[in-house]
Amino acid sequence: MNKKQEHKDLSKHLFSGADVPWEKSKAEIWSELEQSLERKDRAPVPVRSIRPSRQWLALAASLLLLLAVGSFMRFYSVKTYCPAGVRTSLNLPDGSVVEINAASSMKYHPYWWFISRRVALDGEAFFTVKEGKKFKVVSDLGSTEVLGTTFNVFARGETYQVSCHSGSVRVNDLAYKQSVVLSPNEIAKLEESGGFIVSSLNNQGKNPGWTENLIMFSSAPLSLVFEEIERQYGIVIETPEVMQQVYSGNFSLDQSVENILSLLCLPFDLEYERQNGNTYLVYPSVD
Amino acid sequence: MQVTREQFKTIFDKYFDDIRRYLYYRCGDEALSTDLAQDTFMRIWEKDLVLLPGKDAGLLYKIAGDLFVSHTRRDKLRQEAPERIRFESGSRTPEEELEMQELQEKYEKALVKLPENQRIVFLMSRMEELTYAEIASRLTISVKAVEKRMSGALARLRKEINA
Repeated sequence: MNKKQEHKDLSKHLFSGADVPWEKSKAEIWSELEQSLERKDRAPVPVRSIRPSRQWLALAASLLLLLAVGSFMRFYSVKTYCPAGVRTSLNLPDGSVVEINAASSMKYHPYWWFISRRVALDGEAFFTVKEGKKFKVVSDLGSTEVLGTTFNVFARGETYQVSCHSGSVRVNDLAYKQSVVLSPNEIAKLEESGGFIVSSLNNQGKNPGWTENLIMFSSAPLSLVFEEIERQYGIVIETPEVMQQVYSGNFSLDQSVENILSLLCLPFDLEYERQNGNTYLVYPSVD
Repeated sequence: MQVTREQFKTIFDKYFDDIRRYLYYRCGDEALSTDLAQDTFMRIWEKDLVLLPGKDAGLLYKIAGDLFVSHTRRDKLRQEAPERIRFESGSRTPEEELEMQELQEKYEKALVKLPENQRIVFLMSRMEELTYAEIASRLTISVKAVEKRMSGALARLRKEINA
């Protein structure tokens, strides 16, 4: 038997039944351990069940929350007021653009926008609507519906008129439940007796003059012309009587109000005078 | 789920010696092995771990090994290698006694020179007569790895002892 083999056998023998010389036996250790188990015996964790009433409460609370969030989204509105003498432009959530003319206010629901595109308008505004769901502009007297187009709404006092510049729009008379569909370059004016008069636009293929810093009048009563100037310049024009003369013409809004007034007064034999502050008096020439 | 005292006792009875020996193979320190083994089982109890006998032994070895590592990390000074790994042989006849005495001493000195991995596998195989498959499942390593460590251990021991 060689030495290697011998060792192998011996070592097998050596280890059979061998153990580590432990100082403490397993039994001793268990009794130690058991004591600490005694100490650590835990009080059972109380199991709390959610009572049905709580479940209902939770359900009710979440419904209420949902309702609150929902109605916030539904009714939260942004109101833009554009004072006289100022014009502004507003981006709506879907990328549609509204240009708001002087002395106009507009309201819409930003968080409800993707469910219903709807704005409330008092005054005049020009809309460039992104294609999509129905877009509705509501004023006191009429409403206008479109899918995607550009159009101008003028809703002031007793006047409601809508001009369509591209695409097509439907204009509704809210009092008489009548409606008319406009093609590009058409303008609809609401009649006092209800219904619309549709005529073609003077400045075909162009956006409304005011969006390009112009005011345009075609056969407009002078009193309306003064009203528009009041709005654009934020001034007050006083006249001794209602002026019924009819005026056609354009002004650039870049010039001063005095300049415009003198241009206007000349053909009608009128004169104007600046009172204190922002008030102008317009009266017929004496001679 | 909570561990009942009976379940815990079963696990303790079945594995305490194995775990303690395993720790001893690693560190060669009898008192430390006992302490750490005790801690291992305390941990099972505190964490409410429900162990299935025969199936989850690997977890016990893992916990014991981790405890040993964190102990040595905390206590670096004491991490000197033991001089020898002592064991008591089974009963022998007087003639055998004479022959074996010297050999046993040689083994005890040679064992500490083995890398820890090889020592653990060698001693699990020899002292506890576990199969390679059993060792593999306890240490959660592959059987191939056990074989490799074992042959490494045998080669080294042979060299040491015949030197």
